[in-house]
Amino acid sequence: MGSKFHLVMAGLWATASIFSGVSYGTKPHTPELQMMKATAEYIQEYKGGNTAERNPMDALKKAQEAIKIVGEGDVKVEGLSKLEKDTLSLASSMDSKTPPQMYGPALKQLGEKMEDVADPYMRSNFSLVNATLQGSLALFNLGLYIKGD
Amino acid sequence: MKKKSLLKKLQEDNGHDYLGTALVVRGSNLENKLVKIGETHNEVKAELNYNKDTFALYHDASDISDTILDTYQELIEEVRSSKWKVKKNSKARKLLNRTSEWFYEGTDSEDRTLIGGLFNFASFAVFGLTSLAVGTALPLIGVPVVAAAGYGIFHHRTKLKETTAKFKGDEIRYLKAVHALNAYAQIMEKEVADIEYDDEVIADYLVDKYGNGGIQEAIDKAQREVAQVRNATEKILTTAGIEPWEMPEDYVISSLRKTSVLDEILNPTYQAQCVDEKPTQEEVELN
Repeated sequence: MGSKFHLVMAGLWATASIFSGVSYGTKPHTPELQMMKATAEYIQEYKGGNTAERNPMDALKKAQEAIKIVGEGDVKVEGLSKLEKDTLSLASSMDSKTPPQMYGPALKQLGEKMEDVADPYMRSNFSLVNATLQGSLALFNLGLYIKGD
Repeated sequence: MKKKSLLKKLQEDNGHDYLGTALVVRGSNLENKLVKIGETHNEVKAELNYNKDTFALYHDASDISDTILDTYQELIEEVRSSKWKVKKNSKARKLLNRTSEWFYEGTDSEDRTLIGGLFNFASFAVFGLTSLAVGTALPLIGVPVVAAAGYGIFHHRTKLKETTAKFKGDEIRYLKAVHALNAYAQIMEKEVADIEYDDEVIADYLVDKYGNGGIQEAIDKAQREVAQVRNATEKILTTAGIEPWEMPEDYVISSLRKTSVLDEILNPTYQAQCVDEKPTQEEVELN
């Protein structure tokens, strides 16, 4: 058997790995939230245009729909009602005379807000990588302890 | 001579009828005020002092009703011993709330990955270099410790809990006691303002015992202590939105009242001059 140092390190890395795993695994990460995040990314990319799918109102409707679906889901998401208000306020300011590309920045901002609201409920790959690395270090130290180095 | 109520006489002898006074609570929801009442109670509790020696002079001079003094003391004890537990968020929780809120609210997902990476790298660098400097691997223990702490600092969204107040017993009874104590403190302020005497022998005895300066000092001390209790209870009542009892302008202090009662027996016309010491009835709006 190796030094107690390796055993302590194995225990500590295992604890850190469990925390990271909890941080990853306890997030709801529902399909509704994934859809909202994808919509958020989509409307952030909006550049404007005259085709139907490039109509700013259409992009906004997609955002409103995604927010509505998340709101109807099982997960209670904080900040959703504020997002709804933001979309309504943006919708009321839209008119057909303004060139569509003028709404790009406003939609980008809305997309960022949607992402901020969804992110705390989404699984982060960083936590998964962390959990894996820390778990590996725990096993490595345990191996050193057992091997007797 | 017209017959009178013995109960009314007892109330008059006590100088007031505070329990007959209804409490008026401004605003509607007392439940929501409990936290602030508890906080105020804990803040002013130390000011609710009763020092028996303070009133020794009045006792010697038979200048104050024992009933008033005893009830005042009992009420101070009752209010002082009331236990309010106000549970607030600890400093650690507040700090973790700030860091995790910032992590999720103030950054986007790329920033979060970067912060997490830098946090781990910094901990590796610091403990790794320390380990090299001291020539032992022991400081490396800090790396997983910091990595685990990172979960609490950033990744786990620490929520702040609502401040809660717990009171052992009946809150209304407590508030009634505070209200009564405030009324008594007001009465005591009048009672201790001076020493009334009608016998020169007693006056000389008091001057001999306490000295000229001693009497003034004892009166000042009693006034200070009583005013402190009145102010402290007033703070609690204000927090609760309760109207304090209003001291009647024509209140007769107990030492003079004894003479007045005697006058009443001797002179039937006294009834016309007799003051009404009962506080005005107020509307009850307790929730």
